[in-house]
Order: sequence, then C-alpha cells, then structure tokens
Amino acid sequence: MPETLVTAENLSKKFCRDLKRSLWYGVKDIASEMLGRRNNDSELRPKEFWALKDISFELKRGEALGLIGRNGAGKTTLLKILNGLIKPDTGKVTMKGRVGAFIALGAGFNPILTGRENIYVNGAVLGLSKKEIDGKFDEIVDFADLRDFIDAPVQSYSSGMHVRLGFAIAAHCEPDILLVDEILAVGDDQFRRKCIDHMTKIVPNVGLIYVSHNLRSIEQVCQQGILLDRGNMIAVSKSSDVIAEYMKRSYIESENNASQSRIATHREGSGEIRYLNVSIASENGSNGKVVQSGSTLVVRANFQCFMRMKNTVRFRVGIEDLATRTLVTMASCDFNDASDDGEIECIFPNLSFRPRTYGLYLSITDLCVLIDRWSPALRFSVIDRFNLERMYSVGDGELLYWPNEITVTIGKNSETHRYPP
Amino acid sequence: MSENVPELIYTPESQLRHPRQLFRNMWMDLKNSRGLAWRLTVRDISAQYRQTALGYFWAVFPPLVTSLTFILLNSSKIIDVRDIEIPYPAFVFFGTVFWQLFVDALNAPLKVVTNAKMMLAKINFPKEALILSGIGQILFSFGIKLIMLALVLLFFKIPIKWTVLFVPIPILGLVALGTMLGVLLVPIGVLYKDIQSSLLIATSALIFFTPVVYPPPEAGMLSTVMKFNPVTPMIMTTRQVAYQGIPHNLVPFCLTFFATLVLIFIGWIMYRIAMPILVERMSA
Repeated sequence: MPETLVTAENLSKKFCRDLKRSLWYGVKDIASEMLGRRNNDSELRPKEFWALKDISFELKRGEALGLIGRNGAGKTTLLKILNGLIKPDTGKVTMKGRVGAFIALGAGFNPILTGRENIYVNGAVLGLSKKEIDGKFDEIVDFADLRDFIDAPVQSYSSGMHVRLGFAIAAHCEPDILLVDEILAVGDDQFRRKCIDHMTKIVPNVGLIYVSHNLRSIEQVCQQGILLDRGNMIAVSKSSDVIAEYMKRSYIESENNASQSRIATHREGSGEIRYLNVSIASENGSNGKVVQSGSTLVVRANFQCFMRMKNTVRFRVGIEDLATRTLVTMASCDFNDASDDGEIECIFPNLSFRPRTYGLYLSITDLCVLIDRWSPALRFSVIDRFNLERMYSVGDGELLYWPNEITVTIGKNSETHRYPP
Repeated sequence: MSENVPELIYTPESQLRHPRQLFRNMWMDLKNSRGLAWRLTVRDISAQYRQTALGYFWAVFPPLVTSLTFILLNSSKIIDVRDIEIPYPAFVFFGTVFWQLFVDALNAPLKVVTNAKMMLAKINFPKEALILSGIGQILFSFGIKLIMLALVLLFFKIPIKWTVLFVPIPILGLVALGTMLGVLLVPIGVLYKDIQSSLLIATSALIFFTPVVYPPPEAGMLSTVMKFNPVTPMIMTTRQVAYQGIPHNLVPFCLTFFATLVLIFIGWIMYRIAMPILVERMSA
C-alpha cells in the first residue's frame, strides 16, 4: 500500500478584489496573527470572494493528479497553498516528504550572471547543497542541452533556453511530492516531450500534481483529475472523465456566449447557392451537440438555390478544430445544372476524433469560385467514451479521408458518394 | 527512509499558538539558509559590480561625497566643529563610513525582500536567507570602505588605541540595530511603498541628529535628541574604542545593544508570520 503524501481537507482561500482594501486586510491579518488570534475565519469581509472553497483530496505515492480549469479557477492558488507559500483560510494540508516544484522555472536567475553561476544560485534556492550541485552539474547541463552557452550571461539566452535551464535544475531535485504549473507554455516541441517524458518517468516514485491547459498532456501523465471552477471543486475522477466534463462545460459556455454575441460564425462566398440550416445527430448523442467517440455522426443541411448554375458545383462538409484548422473534408460528386433547392446528408461512421470541441464547416464551390462557405456552421464536442486516447496515446495525425458517405439531393435527383468507393 | 521524511502541516492557525514548534522551525530554517544566503550574497555582489566600469569604487563613493561636502563646509567655516581629537576630514570620514553601515543595514531587509518578490511568490525557501544575504552584501561593501578608512587614518597619522580590537562589537551593534529596524519595517514596507520613500528622507535627516559629522553638543535640544537616538551610542563607542581609548560609560551602548537583540527576535517572528500574507498580496 503506497503511503499518502498529500492530504488536503476542506481548504478554502479568500482573496480581495480591491487593492487598497487588500493591503489593509494584510496589515490587519499580520496584526491579528502576531496576537495569536487568527483562526479558521470562514466569513468573507467586504469585497472579498472565495478563490478556493472546500477543496479536499488525497494523493499517494505513484499517483498523478491533474488540475483542470479555466483561468482564475484557483489552480495556481491551490498549488501555492500546497507549497506553503500562502496559508489557507480554512482547512488543513499535510505534506509528507520533500516538496519540489516546477513552477516559475528559473526564478531567481540573475540575468547578468552566467548559466554556470545561476545553476548554483537556483539550485540553492531549490534546496540543493553545493556538493549536490557539483555532483549533478554535468547532468544538468546535458539535460538542458546548453553546453555551449553555459558561460554566457543568462540575459543572452532565449526564453526557451531560460526555461530549459530552469527545468534541468528543478528536475534534479529528487522530491517526494512534485508540483508542476504550466511549464509547457514556453519551449519547443522537443522540450515539451522531454518534460512529459520526465514526468511520466518519475511518477512511480513521487506524488505529482500537475496544472496545465494542455489537456492532452494531462491525460498522458495523470490518472486522476480535479476540475475547478471559480474556486469550487466540480469533479474528482479519472482524468479522462474530468477532461470530458470540462470540455462539455466549456462547450456549453461558449455556446451560451455565441448565442449572445453571434460573432463566431464566418460566412463568405458569391451566394448563388446558400446553406440555410444545419443539424447533427448521432446514434447515442442524447446530449444534442455532444457526441461520443466511436458513434456515427450524421450531418444534415439544407440549401437554397437562387440561380441556375452553369458550371459543376461540389458540396463539401468538413470538420475543423477551434483554431479553424481543417481536420478532414468530405466532398460530394460534382453536380451539373444545379437549379433547385436541396439537402445534403453526410454520414461519418465511427467518429474517432480526440475528445475536444470541434467546428463543422460547409462549403459549396464552383470549379474555381467559392459560392458559399459557412464556418463554423455548428460546434460540437466529442467525449472519449472508451478512453481510447489514454489507452493508445496515439500521436498527431493528418487524415487523408474519413470513411464516410455523402448524399446530395436536388429536386428528385439524388446522388451518393462513398469513401472509400 | 520513511522515518525521517519531513512532514509539513499548513493550517490557518497562528504559528504563535505553538511557540515551541515555531522556535524549532526558526532555528532549523536559520541553519538551513546559510548555504543559500551565501549563494545569494555572491550572486548579488558579483551582479552588482560586474556591470559597472568603476567596480568596487562604488562602495566608497557615498561616504566619500558626504565627507567631502562637510570638509568643504567646515573649511569655509560655514559649520565650525571643535573639540575633536583628530583632524576634521578623518573625523568626518570615520563617522560617515559607520553611518553608511547603519543606513545600509536599515535599508537592506526591505530591499532584498522587494527584489526577491518573484522568487517569494513562486518558490518555498527559508526566508531567513534573504535577510542574511542582505547583511552579507552590506558587510562586503563595508569591508571595502574599511580599507579606505584605514588609508585615511594612516594618512592623518591618527594614533590607534589597542582597544580597536573590540571594534567588531560596536560594528555588530550597528548592523544589528539597522537590521532590526529594517526587518520590523518589512511587513508594512512590502505592502505600502510609503515606507521605502520615507526611509530615504528619514535617513538623510537623521544624520544630523547623530554624531556623524560633528560631536554631540554639550547642551540644547540637539543634545537631548542625540542622547535618545539609538544610533548615537553605537557610533560614539566605535569612535572611542578606535582612537580614544577605554570608553568611560558603556551603559547606553549596552542598553541599546540588548534592546536591539530582543527586538530583532521579535522582528524575526513577525517577518516569518507576515511572509505568507505578504506573498498572497504581492501575487494577487
């Protein structure tokens, strides 16, 4: 039975929105602590809010816990409390073992000093003795891959090199409990892979708490996840489930925002034919625009034709990610003499996208002219029902096509196109 | 192995509720912070002087300017200082070197804590290291000043008494007094910028209420103020053991020294207790 390393019981923390007031509360808090009075104060003072409320969890050796949530959800605050930087306002934290942190990599670096000197300073800040650093020095330099720059002042480093050096030092601290806060933001792909590899490698020996907006890396590293929303613990479960829940929530939220502002959709084209509406359905998509992976997705759209088309037209249905990068496109057969309204039905069996939110786009093209492009015509989220992403941890990929069936009906004329044929 | 694994518990409770644990932690952190304090001192000193053309000369520059000003004022009889055993330039330089030590010690805690904000907000390390590294830095620059002072005393052929062997004691007193006041100001000084600005003004005025550039007058308001100024006995004693011989009255010095030690301990507790609250406000 692995030992419990971190126990958090009913942690709460309040912050103040107003700077002047916050400073004054600070003075008062210091005074009352000096008098030995400050205790579980669970009342909010004016202009205060709960940055964290009633957070409880446990972490054992060999476990990795991912903290997920939007900006301002309280993830970093929670890490700060666990790290002993700030005190909780209610509750209790017990940390057993040496605590290490990959937070603010390279904090304490002096820009004027060389990388070599800064390794010693930063190592000392992280609790390594000179002897320990001497022993690990070469390892650190190799890990950071900075041998040529080690005697150059750190101010001449790029931000990626800066973080690499910081990470290399922090990675050689051998903690029992490791706190990691968004370290993948800077650094190239190779560095990211190194970070994730390193974390995966040490997880069996430590208890890891990992904060990142890179959900895939959380799924890769962590078995357990906690979803935070405005300081509240919304879900504690398997990390893939927590991520799915997070996706669903952010989808609903973005949907609400979109229906309020209607700025998200982009429409262009010459407009002789226009899509009117679009809907999706999936065999077990009970939840409207939330689709389970592996299910069959059916997209239906109607279009209106304002003018007889002389050239051949082609209808396309595609799926794009939130950054409007096209992931896969299906095209219909070519239509000659399109002159009537019609509809299009596109079937994607075995939808196997990663659990994320996606956009659906529709387009109609002439041989060379864009007639209509609607992007995103609709947004939907995929939930990873089988936890496939975790099990196979498939890499990035570019799809040539997706097995699908696309049917366009214009008047009585209906044609189906199948891939693969 | 799991026997000596440290266990840390964080609760909202005031640490003063468990004084024994508090004192043990203070002692442990002080012990553990020496290595880090040394590193930070070396870091800051080398960074400070590396990007300058004049280098270590900057350590003696401030007292030199102050001294020259007063030497000029005195030689043109704008101020008229008498009853000093040694030539006025030596007297002034002696005073300003030690005065600067006090001022540096006073400013150091707030300065090092402010400069380390980023580190404080992100990394947990023994906070004592910051204060210690501040002391390390001022002692280093004081060492340079001391060499200059020795040259000045040699130049004026000032007869040094054997009691100079005791001079480290009042030096320690000056550093302790400055650090004590500085540490007491840290909690409020980090929250409100007013403190740092007032320190600058206060120290430039306080020099005239301390026997730095002239000896204490026999009577009058200034004499009374000087008598109650805690820096006075420290500077006076330094002068006495250096070139006047055995001090006749050590009571004010001993009282100030003792009070400083008590207050430095209280300041230390306050510094520790305030730190999480300060970190919260500096990152919020």
